[in-house]
Amino acid sequence: MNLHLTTIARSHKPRRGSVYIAVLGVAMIVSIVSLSAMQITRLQRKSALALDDMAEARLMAQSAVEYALAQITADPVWRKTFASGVEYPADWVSLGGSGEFKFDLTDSDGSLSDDVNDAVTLRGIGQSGEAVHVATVMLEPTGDPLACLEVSLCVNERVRPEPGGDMVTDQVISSNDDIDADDAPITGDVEAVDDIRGDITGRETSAIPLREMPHEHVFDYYQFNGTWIDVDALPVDGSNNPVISLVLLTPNVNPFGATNPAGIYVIDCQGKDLRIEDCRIVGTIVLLNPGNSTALASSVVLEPAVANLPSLMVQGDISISTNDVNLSELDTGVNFNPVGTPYRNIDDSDRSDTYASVVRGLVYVSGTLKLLPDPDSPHSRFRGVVVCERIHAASRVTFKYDSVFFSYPPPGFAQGPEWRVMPASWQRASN
Amino acid sequence: MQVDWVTVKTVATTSQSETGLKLITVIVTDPDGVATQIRALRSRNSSFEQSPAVDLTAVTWLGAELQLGGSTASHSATQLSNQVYDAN
Repeated sequence: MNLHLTTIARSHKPRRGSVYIAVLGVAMIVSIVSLSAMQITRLQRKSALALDDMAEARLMAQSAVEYALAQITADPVWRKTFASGVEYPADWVSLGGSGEFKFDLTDSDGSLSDDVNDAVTLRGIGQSGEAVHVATVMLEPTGDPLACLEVSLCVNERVRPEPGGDMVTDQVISSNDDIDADDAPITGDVEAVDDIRGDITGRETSAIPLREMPHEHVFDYYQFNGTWIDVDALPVDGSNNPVISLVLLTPNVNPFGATNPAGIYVIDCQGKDLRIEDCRIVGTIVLLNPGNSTALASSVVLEPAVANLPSLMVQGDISISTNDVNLSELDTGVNFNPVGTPYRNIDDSDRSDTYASVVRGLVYVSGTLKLLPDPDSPHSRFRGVVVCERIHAASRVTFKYDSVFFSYPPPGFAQGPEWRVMPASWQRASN
Repeated sequence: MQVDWVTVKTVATTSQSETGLKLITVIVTDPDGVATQIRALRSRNSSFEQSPAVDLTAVTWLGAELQLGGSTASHSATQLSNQVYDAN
């Protein structure tokens, strides 16, 4: 019996220690779990508060933009009231919550008041707690049309048709410099800021005021709102140059990618010589960084999808050697007026139609517009308005005027104190 | 929700007449009775008030729902500052 008790007593000693250690361990585990849960809760709460601050800061940045829009709308001389790059107002504005905001207006040339044609970047800065959010939008001038839209051809530099050239207009050819028709005739009225001479059949008006030309931001709207076509996604010719040929490109049809409801397609040529020929385009083609031999050639039927939008905008130089040979579905094997893309209100599924080769709409070239003769039929035809910095006219070319662009100036072709937010220009910026 | 016209110079002052600038207050109360309030401004000349150049269908709001197994789903959503053309 004693032995038994002794045995029990001996066996109980280590058990008491084990239980103690076990209890201690469990207590530590429970403590750690509890502390971890508390820490996790704290982090979650901190994260939730940070998310709230981020959302509030974002809302404040957007409110800053709205506030700034109201400020400049109420102030007809806002370009003088505000200075470029300076934050307004002096004190942060609060709407009663935890957030507050300011805004600034920036002109890329550093001065808001030097030119009413300059686009302006509006920055809304919102903050809440430790969160800061900056939203930017572009403001573009609207209002009166640029004077360059008032004539069929407006050239910022001298107009001097080359031998073999023949410029014809049903309205006015205008130059912000001289017009010299000694080497080739001009049929129609002409006007120039400086001198006029040579073989001109129409009325000559010299010493006109300078016609306002588009500014550097003229491409912004189209870049923001256009669908970009990768130049490397285009087919190439034997010289490995990209080509757009034997295709239909419209708001509903883009063989090179996504479609654009306004038909605005932007191509960064990356210095390559893009060639556009034997095709029908209903939309606005925007060419950036074109190579020296970028060209519109042969039979091209080009017109804007939206009546007052440009049909062609080139940031640089381009050669145009289109002819007056009709674009033929039979010859090209392409249906250029499928269902959904009518031509003169007619669409069909056959391949037997022909289309007059003509560039309709507003054409703007920021560099040199080279009009070169097509060997088959040296006659390019424009119906609308052509605006360019320089012109090299060595072919027979007809300019027929369309006043729709002067009556309803497209984005980038208006000036004045009025403005609007450039669609699709909202961006989040780093502060 | 409450919408007030506020003066352009001092957004703290409400106005009985149109000023071109609205102060929008949204208050949401959860089932536990906790109220959350947010405020924002909207201008008459806002990009949201401009008509698009051509008729189009645009996506103006984006929402997301995340759920793991049978747990309660989390929801989040935001307005889109730039209206996105809806290809569908």
